[in-house]
Amino acid sequence: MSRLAKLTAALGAQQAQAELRWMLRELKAEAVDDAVKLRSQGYPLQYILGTQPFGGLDIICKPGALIPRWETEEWCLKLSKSLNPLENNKVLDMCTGTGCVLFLLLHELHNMNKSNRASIKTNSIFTGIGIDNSDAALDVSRQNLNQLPALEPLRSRIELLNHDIHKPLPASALSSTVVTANPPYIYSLNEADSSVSEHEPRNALLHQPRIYEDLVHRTLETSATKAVFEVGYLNQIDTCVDIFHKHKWRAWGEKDSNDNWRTVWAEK
Amino acid sequence: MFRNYALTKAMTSKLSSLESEYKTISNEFNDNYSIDLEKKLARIRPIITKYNEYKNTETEISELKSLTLDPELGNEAKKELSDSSENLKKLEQEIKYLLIPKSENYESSCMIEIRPGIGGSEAQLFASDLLKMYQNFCSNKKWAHETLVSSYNTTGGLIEANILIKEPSSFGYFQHEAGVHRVQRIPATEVKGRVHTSTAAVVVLPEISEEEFTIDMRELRFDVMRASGSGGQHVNTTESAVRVVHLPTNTIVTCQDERSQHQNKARALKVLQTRLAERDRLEKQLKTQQARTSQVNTTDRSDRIRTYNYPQNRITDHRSNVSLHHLSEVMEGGLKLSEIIESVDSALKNAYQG
Repeated sequence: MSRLAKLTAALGAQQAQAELRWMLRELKAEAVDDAVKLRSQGYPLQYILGTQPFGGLDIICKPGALIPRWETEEWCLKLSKSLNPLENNKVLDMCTGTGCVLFLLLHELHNMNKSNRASIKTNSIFTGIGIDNSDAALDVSRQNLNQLPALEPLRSRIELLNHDIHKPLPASALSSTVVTANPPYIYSLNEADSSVSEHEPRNALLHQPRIYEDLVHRTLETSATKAVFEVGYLNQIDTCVDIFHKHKWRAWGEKDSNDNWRTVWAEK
Repeated sequence: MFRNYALTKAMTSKLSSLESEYKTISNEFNDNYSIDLEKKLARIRPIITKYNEYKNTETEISELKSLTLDPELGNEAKKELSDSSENLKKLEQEIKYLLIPKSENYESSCMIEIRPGIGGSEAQLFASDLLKMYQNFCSNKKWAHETLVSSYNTTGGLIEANILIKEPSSFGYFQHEAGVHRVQRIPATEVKGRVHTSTAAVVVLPEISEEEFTIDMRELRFDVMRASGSGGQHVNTTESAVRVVHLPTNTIVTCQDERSQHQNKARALKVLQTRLAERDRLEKQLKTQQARTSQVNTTDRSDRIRTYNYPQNRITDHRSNVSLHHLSEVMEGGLKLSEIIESVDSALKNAYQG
């Protein structure tokens, strides 16, 4: 069976061609056969190619961390546009995984800042801190931080820490102004595609009790005035909105462009 | 025998007005740098340089003339005089060329679009050959380029491709590549060994910056491949194709070449912007009754501009009537292609001069 036929059987003609093209473009010629074999067995393309484009960044992907999704990219870019690049923003990203959310926000702020001449005078400083309780995920986010050329000017301003979000935040996170998270939210792995449940890290997918409650409480510990969390279900939005409202924040849910409930937004 | 006024009065007055324009812009440019002024200067500079040379030669000639009666230097002067007047004639020709109005956007970078025409899968194959030819040609010229869109049908045939060439004046360079390119060869699938004729259409558009032409995002519809179901962490989709529809004109651009929807969307928008700007420009041109012979939009066999004949290993341009026997080198994007491109440019210039 030819490479294309193998991929076509697994992915359909159109997608098989696109993916084979990407493999030929990005992999060494001798690696393509194995790549096709793995891919036709459902192994994620991003682990095979090693990256996933996310906004203007090519995020390094390894089995220790969740592969960035287009839905996350979508809200992340939207959030970056709502931030003022001339202010001293400090982003706290919980359950950071590959670090994609944190890195893209700071990358966008950096670009907006560069293209805005006024910033030369105001000299705004923005920094970031990413936390995760998985060492495997932190390995991937550190690789991204150290290896992505686009992050070079930001490297010294970003901190990555192993921390459990069920516990109070480390001191350095308390001065954050914006809080984000894409926590594990799937209730049962049967609901996920097999390519996801079999190959991506369980602890990045499977919902844990009180996770959204704790994300909101962590946010309230900081000096943040804005927060965005990704969700998988409407009731997860309700959980967050209720607590935010009790603390006199404005909070609401938003859908992604595929009409699924995807994020909860909150502003103080 | 020695002409003092080689250039017509109209030309000299045009030249002196260009001189003063050049001075004014240079002064402005020194105080206030702008890309726009730089472009204007770059356009006038070669003319001014040649005109100065021309005036110097003229002075030289009148000095030499006054010496022709000198008993000692007379013969020497006559000799030099004939050299100088040759030179003057040459400069006169060059200035005339330079004064021919350049097409609008001559200095712009450009986009080359390629689509298969008549000839089914053989035409699709030829279109991808042309794509490769232009890509490699730009690489060989060391011109930055990227392929914004290349879409294929399910059998792997090229439906449409679009290369952005980030080189100043590449529009001026490639503009006459627009038209129907014809290929004559035996397709790989042809069992009886017959030569088939197929075509591909090439369109060349000037690159437009966002400041020059903006699209109202409310007039766009984006279609993307969306998995049904909960999305998010539940699925890991790698389908990234994006289709942008400009609703008022029903212009459609599809991009599936990149790995993320975000990238494909950006590329599709760039292509859409260039096409709409060109459409806008043509409309304006029609309104002002200045419609020039524009680029071919059909893939009709009759408006072919060039033939790639494989059995004879020959490439012929039908405007300059220049033929080359380096077909495979040209198809690989070798710099031989520039001989053809430049032959067309001078053929069209000569036609303009009459």
